Amino acid sequence: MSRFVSKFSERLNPMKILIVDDSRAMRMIVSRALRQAELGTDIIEASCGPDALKLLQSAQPDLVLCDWNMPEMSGLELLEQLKGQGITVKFGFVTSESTPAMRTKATDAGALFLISKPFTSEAFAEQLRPVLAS
Amino acid sequence: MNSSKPGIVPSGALTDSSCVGGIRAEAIEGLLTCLLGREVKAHRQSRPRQAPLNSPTSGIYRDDSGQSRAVFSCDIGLAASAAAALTLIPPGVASEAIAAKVLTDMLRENLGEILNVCAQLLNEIYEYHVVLREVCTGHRLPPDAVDESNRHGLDFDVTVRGYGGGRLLVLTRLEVEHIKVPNRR
Repeated sequence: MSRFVSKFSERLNPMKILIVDDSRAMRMIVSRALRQAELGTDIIEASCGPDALKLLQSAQPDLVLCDWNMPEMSGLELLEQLKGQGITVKFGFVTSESTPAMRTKATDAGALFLISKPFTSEAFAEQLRPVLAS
Repeated sequence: MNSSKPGIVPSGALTDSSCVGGIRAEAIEGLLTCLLGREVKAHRQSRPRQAPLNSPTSGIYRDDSGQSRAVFSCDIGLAASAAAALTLIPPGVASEAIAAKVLTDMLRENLGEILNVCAQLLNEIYEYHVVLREVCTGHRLPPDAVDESNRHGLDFDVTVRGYGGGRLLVLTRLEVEHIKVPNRR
């Protein structure tokens, strides 16, 4: 019963998740992983930081999943801009970079998590569920 | 000594790096299986083969100072198969690319993402930190990509389940002191 209620409420008020990655392939993979895990039925995408900033204001996502290395604006720069503009949103990195120093930088900047690429959809869901539930 | 010119994807005449550690077949299998979401098998040849790669695509990895540290070169068979598998592009599209010896834009973009993630294979075993900086098609590489006198190579056969496969040649500088834990994986 509670499972049904949970599913029903998700449908009424789906999580809106913004994927920011300059790689179309990786946006597709992250999007697929979200759907497989039944996390976030409302997925929007941006291929660069400036586009993400616009979408953050217009679409107001619940969560941002962002790549670290992007040509125009890095993920870290995007997060800092969000803070500077007073935009509050759950933010995490999905990146092939995962050195301890980068994890520290990410956390210091306000990121909730850093998921390393590649990932299995199970591991991906395991990391995201508590964040979305909080 | 070594007949290959700098700036060319070499074949043969490479020092086998198994004596100093380096990337192992199991690490490639693990990373690509996870990334592609399907079984990938990798087998390392006992020594690099003389035959050149067929229509290669290469990723050049540079450290934070910009120095080239490694090159991953895939032949067209592996490049097309892995790139197609990444986003579930039908295997027939990969077969067409292999026959034409050229990757479509989407396959090339997908391969770039695979090569990008492959930086982990280097960062796990070397003390320096590298990222993928360039992707080159064909046998010509930037002049500083591979140091003529100081390199070692690993020659793998890699197969992606449901798609096919081909060769992967990994070239790194022979700098034993930068390996974190030799033969760790």
